[in-house]
Amino acid sequence: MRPVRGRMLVRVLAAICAFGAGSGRALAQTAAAGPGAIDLSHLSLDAAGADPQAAPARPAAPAKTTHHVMAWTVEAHGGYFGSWAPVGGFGAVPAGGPDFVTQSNVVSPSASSWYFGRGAAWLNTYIKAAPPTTPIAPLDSTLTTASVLRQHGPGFGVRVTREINQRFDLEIVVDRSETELLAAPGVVTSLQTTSSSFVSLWQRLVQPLPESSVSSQLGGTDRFGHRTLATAAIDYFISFGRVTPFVAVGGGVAANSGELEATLSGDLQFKVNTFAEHQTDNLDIVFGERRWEPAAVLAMGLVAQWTKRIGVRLDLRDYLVASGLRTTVTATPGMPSGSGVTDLVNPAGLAIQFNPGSTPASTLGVPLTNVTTFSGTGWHKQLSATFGCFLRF
Amino acid sequence: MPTPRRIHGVTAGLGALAILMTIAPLARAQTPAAPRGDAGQRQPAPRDRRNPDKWRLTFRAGESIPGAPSSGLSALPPVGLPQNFLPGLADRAVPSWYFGDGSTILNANLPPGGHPITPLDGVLTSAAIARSAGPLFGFTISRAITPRFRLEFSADASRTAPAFTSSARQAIETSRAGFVDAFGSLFAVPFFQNPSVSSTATVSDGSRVEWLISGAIDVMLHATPRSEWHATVGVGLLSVGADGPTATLDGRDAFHVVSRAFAEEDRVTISSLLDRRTFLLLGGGWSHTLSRRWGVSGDLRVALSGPGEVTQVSTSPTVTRFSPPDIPTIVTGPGAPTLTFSNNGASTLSTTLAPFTTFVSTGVQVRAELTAGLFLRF
Repeated sequence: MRPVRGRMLVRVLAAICAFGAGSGRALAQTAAAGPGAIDLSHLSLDAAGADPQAAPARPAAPAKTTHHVMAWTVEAHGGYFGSWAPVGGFGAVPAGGPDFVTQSNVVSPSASSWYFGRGAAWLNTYIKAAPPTTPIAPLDSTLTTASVLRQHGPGFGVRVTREINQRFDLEIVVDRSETELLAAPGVVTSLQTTSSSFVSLWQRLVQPLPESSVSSQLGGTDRFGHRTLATAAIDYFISFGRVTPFVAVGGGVAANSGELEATLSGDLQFKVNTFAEHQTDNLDIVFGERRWEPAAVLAMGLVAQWTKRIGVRLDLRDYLVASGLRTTVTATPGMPSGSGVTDLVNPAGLAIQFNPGSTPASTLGVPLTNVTTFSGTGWHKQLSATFGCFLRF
Repeated sequence: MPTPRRIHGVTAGLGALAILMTIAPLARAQTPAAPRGDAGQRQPAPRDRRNPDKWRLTFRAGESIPGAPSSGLSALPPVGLPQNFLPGLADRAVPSWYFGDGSTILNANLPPGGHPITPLDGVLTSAAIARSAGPLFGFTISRAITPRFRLEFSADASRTAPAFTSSARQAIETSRAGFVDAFGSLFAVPFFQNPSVSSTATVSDGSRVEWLISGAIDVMLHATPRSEWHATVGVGLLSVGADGPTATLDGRDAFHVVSRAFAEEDRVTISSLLDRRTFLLLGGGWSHTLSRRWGVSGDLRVALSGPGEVTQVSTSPTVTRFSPPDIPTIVTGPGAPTLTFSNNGASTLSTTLAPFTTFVSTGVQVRAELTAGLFLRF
């Protein structure tokens, strides 16, 4: 047995030498030949009938190879997605309308809401003449800064890879992360404070008037949502072995969902002499994120082959998603009922005008529809760690 | 992904041998890469032990070319509230005459034929402060971790820190001169006695030096006995000196009305909010060995970072108080908010503005660096 094995070994080596010398250069020009060139399980060499004495002299016949290159893989994976949202961005409150002269010959601003901007500022200027009234806490900072954050959470996804050559793969990944959009710390408190200060301030102002009532309701709807990331990347395998480390870089898109909606409904009623006024101040704030944003991905990990067809992959990646945080405001001031133009004039001569009609104007009378008060800039860093099982085909 | 394989006794050895022989021409032709799925069989490229190349110290010089912000978000400070100095006359407090609502009110109250001030609105709401191309110097120290990979650390200084653009400088000068012209037109009315107007602008670019520190991995793509081509991937930190660019406009106007004196100072500061920022480094280069220890190299790198150009404005108006205080002098234009000058503080120019962000760039900031270097191997 030993001589036979030795002869066969010589023949096989000779054949391999010929194959290597002949095909190596060609492989150097054909990058995609990678795995097939090293998979001997499909290499068929007919050396049984060769003359052992002639083997070194006669080049082996061109090796008949049947490359079954399993260049594709499909993988299912799951893991955990972190999140690191920046607070950078740009915000500005709406300007409101032009100033106007009230019936009492005092100049008043035109505002969209008492809860923020010029309306809140005018209200706080107005009450300076009537201390010790607590000023309204305007929502300006809440509206003009990042008020929601995407949280961390579990995720899952699929990956398809195609081998390019020995060191490079192309991968396409779709990951869905259950990373919900939640209010930033202090936002809910800020909304509650503004709502309660609206009530206390207006109660102080209209308390002496008959049939007065003031209310402010804070409501909200949470659609926490999730994020889906679809990216393409190039995997680069650093070294080779049973466990193979790799790095990857690529890009794609992020599909965001989820938004928080806060509603403030202010209601104010009073009577001056025979004039009864009823004013509503409805504010709808949507804290959300743009639906589609570009994303870049940097990744590293390990790949291990269990069997010929099945393997596992540990993947750590950092998704860099352009910040699409956005806050929009819809303000609907109105006067459902009223019996004429009323000016509330304070001791300093400043006035707030109420008018159920269109002219002259009311101090609160400029509606807004989906006005953006904050736009995020920069990039979200969403780190993820996933573990998956792939099938090669 | 790694190709599956079977390793059984002789087959494993044959496979390894076959792999090596198959790849050998490829390795010679391209790189010393070993095939995937060949644990423990990978042979590092033969290295000449007499020719040290474990460490490299490279001194580099070249040009850094930052890209200008392509887009941004902007807003001017909000319009002030009515002051109601006189019943029925619209008036608003403003932070400055040089921009925004202040310029609007001033221009609306000029007499016919008066010279309006050109507001700074365009400077404040655009990328008036931007980086520009400049020289770069630095060094890189790298260490070979495998025949294919080198780990490197770089520190560079470039003269590319943000500064006012030439168009912004011109606009600032136009506004400065416009302040004198506008108030000159206003005070041409005989009602104002002994008028005096001045306006100065000081533009400082601060320290123009930026520091870039980065760590990266060089991947050798192609090698010949004396030359190597490599790709570079890494991350870094960009830091700007504490004294950034600022522009200060100082306008003063004073006059008498019936022997009563009025004077105010309008001081505006435009600045850039500088912060450190991280960047992603991508690039490639070539190195050529001249001798056993010395060589030359060339690199082209691109640093990608997030948005960061921020323009801010702040104001600190001053109204000189005289004793005894007098009633305000009010100028009213047709249908426009009034101009109120007071010697007791209740003037139109009365709002102190804390640094207010008027412009934020968006998008990816790109910086290209083209350098040549001389390296020492040890």
